[in-house]
Amino acid sequence: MFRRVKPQDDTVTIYIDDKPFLATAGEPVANILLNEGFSSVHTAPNGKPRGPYCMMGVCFDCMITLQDGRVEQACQTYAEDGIRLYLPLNRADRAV
Amino acid sequence: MSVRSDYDLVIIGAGPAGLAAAIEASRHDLSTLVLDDQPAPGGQVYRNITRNRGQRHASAFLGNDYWSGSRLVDGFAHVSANVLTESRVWQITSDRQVLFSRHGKAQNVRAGAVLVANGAMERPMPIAGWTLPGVMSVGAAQTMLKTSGSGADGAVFVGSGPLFYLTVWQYLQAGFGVKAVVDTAPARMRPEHYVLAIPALLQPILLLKGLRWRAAIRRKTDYHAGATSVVIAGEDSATGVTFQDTSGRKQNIPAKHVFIHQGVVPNVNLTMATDLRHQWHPRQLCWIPQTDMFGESSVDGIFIAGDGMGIAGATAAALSGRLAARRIIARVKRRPFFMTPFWRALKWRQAAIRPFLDSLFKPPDDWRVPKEDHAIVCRCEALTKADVNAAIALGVSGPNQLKSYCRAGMGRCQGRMCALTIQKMIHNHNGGSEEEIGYLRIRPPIRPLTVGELAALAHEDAGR
Repeated sequence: MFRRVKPQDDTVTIYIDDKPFLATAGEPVANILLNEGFSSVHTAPNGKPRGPYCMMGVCFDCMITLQDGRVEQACQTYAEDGIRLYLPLNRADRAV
Repeated sequence: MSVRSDYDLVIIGAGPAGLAAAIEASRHDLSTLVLDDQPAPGGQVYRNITRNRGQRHASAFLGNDYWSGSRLVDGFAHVSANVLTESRVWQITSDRQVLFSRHGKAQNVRAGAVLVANGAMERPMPIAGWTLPGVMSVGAAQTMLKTSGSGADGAVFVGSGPLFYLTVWQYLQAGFGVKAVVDTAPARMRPEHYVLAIPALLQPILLLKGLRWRAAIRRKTDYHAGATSVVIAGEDSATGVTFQDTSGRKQNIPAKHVFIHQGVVPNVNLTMATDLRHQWHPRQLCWIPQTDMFGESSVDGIFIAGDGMGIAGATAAALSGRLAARRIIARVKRRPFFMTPFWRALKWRQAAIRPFLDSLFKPPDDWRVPKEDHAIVCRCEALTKADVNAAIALGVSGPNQLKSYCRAGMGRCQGRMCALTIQKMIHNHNGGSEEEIGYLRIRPPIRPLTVGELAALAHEDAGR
């Protein structure tokens, strides 16, 4: 699992599948997923789990669903206080 | 800040090339807009530098090359340009409209000149098991260091190249336990490497730095040189790495985190979608946009700077950004343009080390296409080497025809993670030249776009 070697500043709370987690404001949401141990995020067409791979917006393997239904790359979504995101892997409809 | 509807110059990307160009353009009073997909300037190389500087001692492990980005970011803080962060460009039209999305809304601006400075991405490394959760690129591991100061203990690093050694070194500096380093570069330099090392001596500091990183890695980690036949094991997540060492013995290292890397290539999706002319770079094994020495592309008024025009590193990127900006300033102000010989010499010196690095870390053919039939080639569509080869065997002339046979390259990443592999697989089957086989045809928008996002554009147009 990933761990931080740096103190967090400007701490906010984000919700992953409705569970609260502390994050640094402006930090990519994919970082928080990995720091909290969510290495699998969505399901590939072959039914296998996938997780963040490139962390810079090119691989599209960190897809998450935001509260308003938008599907976004977790590495291109930045932490703000109170945002809620859902992992497609854990959704019955597997909308992604 | 109010965004205008047109600018003298729109710069795409706030890495070293984009920042240097914006500083130069600002000095000459060009109305400039900088679009970048991150929340702060720096690009991938100086990523998150503005925030990290606030607690510099806590991020000291990133090293001096990273902190050298401070100068550009400081200069950029004073430019007159408009800056839109978290903006993702998805189309440039031939009449230089730039279309992008920001916070779920599409927008467009008109530009007298466009400078594409969107940099590089890591070359796909399609080895068996590379899609397993727990496997990430080395660049991704480095991004975690820069954006969160976080890393994973007990990781195995597989690959080679400057970014590879730098990141392992940063991991060691930061105090993370590195389980093993599986180096895929040849264990011994070949005669041609020694020949190319001669011009590289013009860059002694870079050479010494690389040697120092490698020496530290050899000393401090379980280091395996000249590894071949690397496979990542696991069912639903990575459990270990197997490979063959130089003595031909099979080795197996258990690990939950595996970081892989085999060099970087220009991120050409935007320049390809803009219909700029590209050419195959046989030494760097990638496509580069055709430009003149100032970065002007085959389309009038569209320029390219930085690693997006061929891999040369951050210092060269900043120089190419300044050069392109100078050319654009002359164009906008209708002034004659003279290239500063000093910059030209600097750029030439920067390039001197590339042939050596390109050849030493050139991915061998059997790394560009996986050995195992079950290895995934197209991540988005989860197509294996066998799937793709079955379609190729039906007879295809190139990657575009292959799309309609098996969907390879039609997923969300729009070929970024598979196009180079597919091109090589067709080349292996059909023969001929790789340049002739060509890349996937990339069309705008270069990122998925919702109807809702587009609707914002219609509102905006109606309001004008």
